[in-house]
Amino acid sequence: MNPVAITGLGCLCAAGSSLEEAMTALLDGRREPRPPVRFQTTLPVPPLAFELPDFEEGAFPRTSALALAAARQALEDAGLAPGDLHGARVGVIIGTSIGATLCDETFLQARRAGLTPEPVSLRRILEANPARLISRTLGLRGPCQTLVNACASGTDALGLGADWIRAGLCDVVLAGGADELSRITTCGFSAMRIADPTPCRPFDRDRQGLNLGEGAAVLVLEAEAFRTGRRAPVQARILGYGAASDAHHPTAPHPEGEGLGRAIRQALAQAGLAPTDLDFVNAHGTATPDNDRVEGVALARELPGIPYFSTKGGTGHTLGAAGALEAAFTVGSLLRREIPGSLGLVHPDPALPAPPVTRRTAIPGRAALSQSLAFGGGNAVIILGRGDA
Amino acid sequence: MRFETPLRITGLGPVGGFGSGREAFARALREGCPPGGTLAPTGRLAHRADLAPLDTFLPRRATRRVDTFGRLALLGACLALQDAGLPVSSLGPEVGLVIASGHGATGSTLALQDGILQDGDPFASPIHFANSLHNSAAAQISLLLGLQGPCVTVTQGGLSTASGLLAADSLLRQGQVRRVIFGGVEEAGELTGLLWGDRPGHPGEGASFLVLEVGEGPALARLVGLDLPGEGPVDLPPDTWADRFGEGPGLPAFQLTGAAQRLAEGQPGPLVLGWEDPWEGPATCELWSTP
Repeated sequence: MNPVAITGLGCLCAAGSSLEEAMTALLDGRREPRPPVRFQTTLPVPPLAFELPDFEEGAFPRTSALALAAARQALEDAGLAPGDLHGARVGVIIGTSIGATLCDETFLQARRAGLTPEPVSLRRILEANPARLISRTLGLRGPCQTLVNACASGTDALGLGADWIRAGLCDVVLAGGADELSRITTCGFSAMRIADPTPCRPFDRDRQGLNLGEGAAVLVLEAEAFRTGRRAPVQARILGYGAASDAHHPTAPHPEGEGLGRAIRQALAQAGLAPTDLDFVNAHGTATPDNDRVEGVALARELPGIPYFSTKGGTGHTLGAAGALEAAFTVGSLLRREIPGSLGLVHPDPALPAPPVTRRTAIPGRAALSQSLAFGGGNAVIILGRGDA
Repeated sequence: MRFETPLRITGLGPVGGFGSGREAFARALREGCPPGGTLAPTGRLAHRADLAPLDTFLPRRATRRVDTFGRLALLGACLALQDAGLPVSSLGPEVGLVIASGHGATGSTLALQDGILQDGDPFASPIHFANSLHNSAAAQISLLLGLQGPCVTVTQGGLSTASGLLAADSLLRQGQVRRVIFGGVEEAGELTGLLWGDRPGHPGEGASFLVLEVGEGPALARLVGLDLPGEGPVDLPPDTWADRFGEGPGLPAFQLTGAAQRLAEGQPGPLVLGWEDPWEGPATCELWSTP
């Protein structure tokens, strides 16, 4: 498959409000999960989260506003003003979980109290879904799609967005993911007993579960003709994409990571690469006992000896944004030719076939794989290469 | 755009207020179908689906934790597979799934929030939470029908069906799968009624599934092109879809099924479907009969 050029990246998360800031924090091993400030819960153990307390969504739904901010940043990074895209076929594909859910507690509380409020907030969620908000605000003309594949949404958006370029459907695609920190979702994960009340520890012997986070990442994908026409440099390329389902359990991954294995092999085949061509794996690494164990098993089987780490110890699990953020971090690591240690890791789980990377490490910077596992058994994998590799 | 290779439609699985299956669907197209259900708590008339036929495909015990949204999707998928002469289990890694829905699993979404408001944060229902995710229906189809290919759920308002077809084409063209089960799903419940407001007409719920394949072989019809946003002429006259199936953002999939049905029955093609979303504008989809 023809690689697809990435010319710009936008990134907002608790680790930083740009890719540069986030990479510096991740490489330095800095993190600061805190109790959320935008909402309260009556959960018996207060949750920790990786929030963006200073981000103002304005009139838009928060997830959509995060996506729009990341899209603007990505276009600026690509050297593209919105006016440069007039007349071009520009697609927008954004993955999310919360951003498409019709959820508004204030509205429902009023209903339950016998009032009859207008569902303004619910309509606003529909009117301004993440992909739609980006497309309309920037005046873009092209396909528009919001993917809701749970935690694999961001990775799937990148893979499918790259296909729009290869299919000749678009000159440019803004592809990524976004999700906000939500009170309802916080309660939901607590109910599933997979949230850690302390800072999360992916792949650690003593891991107890995840911390939630919020954020967004958008990548600018360009068709070669459009890119060379404006002489834009290539920062990285999408080399391959794979996706497969476990068909095992509504929320838990297949114990042997069978679906993940198929997705990895698909992505490698599409990229025309062997496992030894990869410098590292940016794992899903949520810090839940099941996820990390399954990833460890699958990686040892499919990509033996390839270093891997999780960045969720520095960003929290950003759900629909995770795959896109982690793809951005993967590009950031390739460009810097170094990878962070797995944040939050103190004692690598001895049950893992191979331990993750524990410290900042130099790499050649050729190609790398980023993977996401989702509720419902979805597995999505993307392979990225340096632009000049 | 013209699909690189036309997508062959080899099975249809419609479910709605009219009943389920191609015969009931065709009858509704010919004779009309008034709304036969209501929405709580207002009692607004709506086209509500009967999901009892799902028990003929899957044991009740297997679906006991599946909500209405998931059941609609499961029944539509099973009917489409049956219509295509395919098994409804052990589908394996060569079958993918695309689901399009404008509102998602509104019943579970509301139940989750209601439970928290009523009983408190510590008592959020993990089942309602898992079911409230838009991709919960895809997850249930994957799990219960043994589908191990990629699953994609798309939400894009009134253009969800059109947008989802792009994903289906992508999965098939990239060679990731040999076959895609594609479906539009919409659940009508209290949230639907709240969003509907006082406007005329009736909300509808249902699922309309198609089995899509590429390559040579028999087919009911062929999907040859899609335009987002649409620019071509729409020569299929406006139909009274809303009267027969109710309105809902995921229900343009019924138009797709209807067009495929008519082509399969011998109506000469092409048929061009026109869809409109109030915020994104128009889209068109072109279908041909098989040669």
